[in-house]
Amino acid sequence: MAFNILIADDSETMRAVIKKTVVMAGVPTGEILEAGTGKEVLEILKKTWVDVILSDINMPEMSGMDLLRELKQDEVYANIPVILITTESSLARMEQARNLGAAGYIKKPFLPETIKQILLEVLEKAYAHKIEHEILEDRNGVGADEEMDF
Amino acid sequence: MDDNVKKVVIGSMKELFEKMFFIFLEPVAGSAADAFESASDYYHAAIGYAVDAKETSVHFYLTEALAWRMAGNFMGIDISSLDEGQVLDTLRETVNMAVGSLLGEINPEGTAVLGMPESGRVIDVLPEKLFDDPSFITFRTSSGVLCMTFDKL
Repeated sequence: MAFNILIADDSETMRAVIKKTVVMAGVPTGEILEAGTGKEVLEILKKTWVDVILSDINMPEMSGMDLLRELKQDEVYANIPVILITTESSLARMEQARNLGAAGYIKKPFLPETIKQILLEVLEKAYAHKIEHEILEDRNGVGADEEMDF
Repeated sequence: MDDNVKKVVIGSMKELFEKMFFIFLEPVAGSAADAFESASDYYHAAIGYAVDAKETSVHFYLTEALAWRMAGNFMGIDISSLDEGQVLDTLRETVNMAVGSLLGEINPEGTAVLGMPESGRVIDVLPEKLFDDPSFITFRTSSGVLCMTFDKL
């Protein structure tokens, strides 16, 4: 199963760094999309299905928190896990993110291993049923081929 | 600045630069003027923030060579492939990360609001004038000097 990942950060260089980290982490990716603001995220979601969003908090026009709030109020987007990647590491901010429904919180500066670990944890938790279903389907498929060989 | 806060600032900056840019910062004990390199051009990056309704800002001044090396290391590409926009973007992200992690350490219970970071070349102030400021926290690197100060324009 490949996941479509959306990276939202107003810094182009930070988006490039996160993208490289995700690819190097060996996460099975489909499309990796990028947005510079929360509003751009909403525009992308209208056109493309996204499995997980990695979002900065401190962005112009619409902050990561406002984006999270908006997504959780939408019946289609509410289940998309959002991981906040942010410099803001105060307990109050983390608590606020948790209350709004953030699936994870990564503090900048980060190590690539941290992104990999949290991203995989969140994906496994959110899509465990799909991954399981796919494994079963694969097994059944393999089984059918084997039977045909006989 | 309180010595303990200064220690936290230095520790936090060293961690940031090692983790994100693979650059080692060596704090300079004396005046920033001692570390000033007249041959270099300088970049400036700043961010404003508010903690419990008290507003302040942090400013970085650094050599051109250091700024470009930071951007190259950050993005994992050769300096010759960079453009200045990427360097300025890296500097904005750096002050953002520096202040964000600093506030998390100094005041983990507080609610901070970060402004949007800015960056550019130092063109309107003579760097040697800036470096006279005794409040500067100064670091040496193998690519030149980095100074930071709070609440200075």
